[in-house]
Amino acid sequence: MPDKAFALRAGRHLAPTLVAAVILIGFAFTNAGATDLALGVNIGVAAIAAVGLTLTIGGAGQLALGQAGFMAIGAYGTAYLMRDREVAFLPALAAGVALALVIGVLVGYIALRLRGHYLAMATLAVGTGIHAFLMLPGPLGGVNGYAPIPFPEIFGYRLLDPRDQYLLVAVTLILVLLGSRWLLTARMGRELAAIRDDEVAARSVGVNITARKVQVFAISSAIGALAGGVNAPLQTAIDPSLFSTAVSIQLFVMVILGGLGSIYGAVLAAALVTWLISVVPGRGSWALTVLGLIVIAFMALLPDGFAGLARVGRSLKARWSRPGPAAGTAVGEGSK
Amino acid sequence: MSASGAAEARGITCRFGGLTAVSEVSFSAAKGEIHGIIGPNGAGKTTLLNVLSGLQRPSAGSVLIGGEDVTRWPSHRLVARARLVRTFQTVRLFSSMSVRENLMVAARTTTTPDHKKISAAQARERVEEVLARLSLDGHAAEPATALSYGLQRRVELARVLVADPAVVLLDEPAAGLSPQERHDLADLLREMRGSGVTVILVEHHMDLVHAVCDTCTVLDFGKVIARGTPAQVTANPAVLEAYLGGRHHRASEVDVTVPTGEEDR
Repeated sequence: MPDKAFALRAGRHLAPTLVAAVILIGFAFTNAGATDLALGVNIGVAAIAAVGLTLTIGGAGQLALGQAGFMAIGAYGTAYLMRDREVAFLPALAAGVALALVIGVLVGYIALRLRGHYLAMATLAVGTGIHAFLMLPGPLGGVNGYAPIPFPEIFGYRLLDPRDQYLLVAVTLILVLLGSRWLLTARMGRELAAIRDDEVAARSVGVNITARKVQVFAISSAIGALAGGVNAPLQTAIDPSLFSTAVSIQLFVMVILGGLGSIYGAVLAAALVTWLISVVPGRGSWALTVLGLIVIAFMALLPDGFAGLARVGRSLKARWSRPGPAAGTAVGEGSK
Repeated sequence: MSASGAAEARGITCRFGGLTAVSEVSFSAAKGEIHGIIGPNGAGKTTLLNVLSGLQRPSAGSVLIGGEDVTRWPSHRLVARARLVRTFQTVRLFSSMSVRENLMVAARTTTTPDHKKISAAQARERVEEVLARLSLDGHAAEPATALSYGLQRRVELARVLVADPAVVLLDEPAAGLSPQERHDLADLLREMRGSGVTVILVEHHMDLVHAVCDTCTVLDFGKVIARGTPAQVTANPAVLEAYLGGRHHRASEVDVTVPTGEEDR
């Protein structure tokens, strides 16, 4: 039964995840240099956090803006446990993610009673608050950061080679994509889409909207922490500037450019944004200017982001194979 | 089932600041009864439905479903446990979903008769059953909001039926329907009554109220001004006054003709 469910369609097929997996893993075996692999790590980390964020923003239509704060919880949590408590990488990572999950539930339970701009402000404040907390002098190093963090070791194998490090991020991203795809197509994803479409109607058909919103926000937060926790030991040093409000906004931009709710779009947008920041001179400011222009261009030309591109492609294909005025409707659907 | 009826409101009062939208409204509908809530615009009918469906906390009063006090229950529990579902004055379908998926959302939130969670397979089965029953199977894969208005209304009713409801609240289901569609709606409501569903019907179309309602409660300015069978209430002078007092622009839909009464406010 080929249902035309726009929101869930991206998640229905396994093919895009497989393609993404082949590209992500394949990149490691292209004789890429250490610099390219490091960029790959940065892209992958951003992509993980952005995919997590798109579950809340795109999946449930809740405007959450503090994702970098949750990356920080994962990063600092993992780093602290590995260095000061000598916990192994995987358990430390799991603890960091669990901590973010708990904080996500607490924040979500309070903040998700708010809507729209108020929710955006509240989550932004949480992200900023976490950043400000990390700036305080103390055992986490304040503005000077936290270092050195030991390299991750998985089942006795130390990830020193840049390629191994990249592969760790790539595999994590693939797992996150698989999990997110499952979540969006399962009952939960449908109920999230119902909340996004019409919250009152969702309530009236029996969707427990508070529980669903808190759940998805906590999952988004945990995935953000996963990104931070995987990245921290690879960077060997972390500092609060990696988790500033600007980073939260960049992640939000990735979700928008990707197309709300599109996990693959978020990965593409993460690649675009991260690459831009690395190549545009001026480290940050000019890149953000360019980014602003790109966002404006997307809003004007491709309001559904990279996901909209796929939709336009499909409708062109439909027009090709079945000439007639009906083919145009899909484009209209995507651009409203 | 207690003697108090399948769905009962006791002294419901709803205040918004200085405005009392609903004032000490009580009514009771038995199992398998269609109970009409009628009254001019602004009488508090929709607010009352919002209270009954858990979207609005009343300032005072209580709601009983099957004899159980459900006043403070959240909507999702009302659906799962009291099997109470509703529709809205304006169609509210999930716009990103197909007709079938709209129904799936509703089917998955319900429980089996023994209060167990419904499985995906059971839900799917129920959805297909209802799609066929309402002749929507041909539209199942279409985006719900791309359908004609009449069909969207029908999808909304289908979304109610997949919940296997005990109590159904309908807010002006006939609004905007053609005479034929209204006729089909009346048939469906009678069918629901036949299967033991209690229907609370807010409606302006008096022909539909006359055709299906067993009893009615008439509201005006948030207060109950009359109750009884449709024939009784439309003959009630207080009702005529409320409808034809010059305030009601749809007075022509009341199928009685009397001279216009004095304006009461």
